[in-house]
Amino acid sequence: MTENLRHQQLSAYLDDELEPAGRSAFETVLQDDPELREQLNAYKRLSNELRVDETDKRVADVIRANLRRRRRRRTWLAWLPAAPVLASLVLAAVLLWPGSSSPGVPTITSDDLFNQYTEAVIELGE
Amino acid sequence: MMSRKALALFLVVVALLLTPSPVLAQASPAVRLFARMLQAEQTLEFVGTVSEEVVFPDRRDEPQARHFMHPPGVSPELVERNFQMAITGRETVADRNAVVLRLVPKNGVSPNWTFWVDEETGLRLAYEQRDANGELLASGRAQQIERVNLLGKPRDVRAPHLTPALKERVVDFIDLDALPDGFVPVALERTRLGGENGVFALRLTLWDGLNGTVLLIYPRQRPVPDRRYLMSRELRNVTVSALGPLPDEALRSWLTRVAEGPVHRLTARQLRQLQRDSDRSDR
Repeated sequence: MTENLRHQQLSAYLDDELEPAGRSAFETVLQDDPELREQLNAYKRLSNELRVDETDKRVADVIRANLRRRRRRRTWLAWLPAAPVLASLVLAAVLLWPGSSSPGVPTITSDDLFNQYTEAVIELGE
Repeated sequence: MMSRKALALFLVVVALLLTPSPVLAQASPAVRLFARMLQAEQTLEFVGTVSEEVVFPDRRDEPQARHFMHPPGVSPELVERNFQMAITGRETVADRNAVVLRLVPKNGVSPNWTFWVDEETGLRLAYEQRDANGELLASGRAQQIERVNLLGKPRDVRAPHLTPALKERVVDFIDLDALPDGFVPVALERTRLGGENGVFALRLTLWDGLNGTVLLIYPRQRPVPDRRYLMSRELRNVTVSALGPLPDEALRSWLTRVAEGPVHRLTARQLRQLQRDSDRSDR
């Protein structure tokens, strides 16, 4: 058996792709070939390690997502001490903005304006 | 004893007073009737009952009044300049014969007037004021006339007019060409909007001889919503409101022209100064 063929059969055996007859024949060869057995064991170990890595990757993804969420939360929390200052600035801007009504300054209504008209016209006759 | 010279002078003055004015003599019958009505309103009053309804500006009914509340005054020169006058018929009002005198504004947007003038005395027996859309603004009618009195002291029925001093102050912030056709400023006052704790405002009253419009200028704030006879515009530092019984389009056009003029650049400090200067109305 050439090295290439051994490797192909070993790979097919591990992936459970051999026909029953072929599988049985390959196991007979395995019993007589300690080097091939050693290679098979090495492949199995590697395969297990790869499976662990896959699990780790999924765990890492979960951890990374959690970290991102915490970081976002921390970004908001970082502004918390400045909240009163920011709120004051926003309030001041609203109150000082021309056209905004401020406490204590009465809102002008259409009645106020019409009263002015009436008063002005009446005064013309006085 | 009166000297001959003084007697001659007295006779000349009397003759001049009794001679009809050449201008009036050439005037149309409608203009002469209008002049007669004004003269009667200054010297006579009727005692009786009147009904009067003033829709705009809103005013109380005074049924026992000896003369009508509206118009508050008349400016004959402006009326002759701004209105077409015509006698349109004869009717009976409070059992008296009246001539119907109609005044239609030449600018097409001011309110029009109809007067029912007593044939015998020249007194106004009824009137109606309608806006350009035909909506009633004010009306009054004598219901019953008990007698006509001669006033001991003539009553002044003339409205204020534009003085040079007033004009000088107004042109600082208003382009006079931007005013509605036929209207002139007659009063500039400081007033307060929004009650005792309200904001100070500058109030400019305009007059076309029989109708008034008002411009209010106050520190900038969100304008009240526009409605019939009222429009406002928020400018850089001030808010301007225009009020008057004019059609929406005329009021808007007037306000736009005013807003594009010097008032647009008026600062809050300048407005306060104008208000202080206007504490006493200059009529």
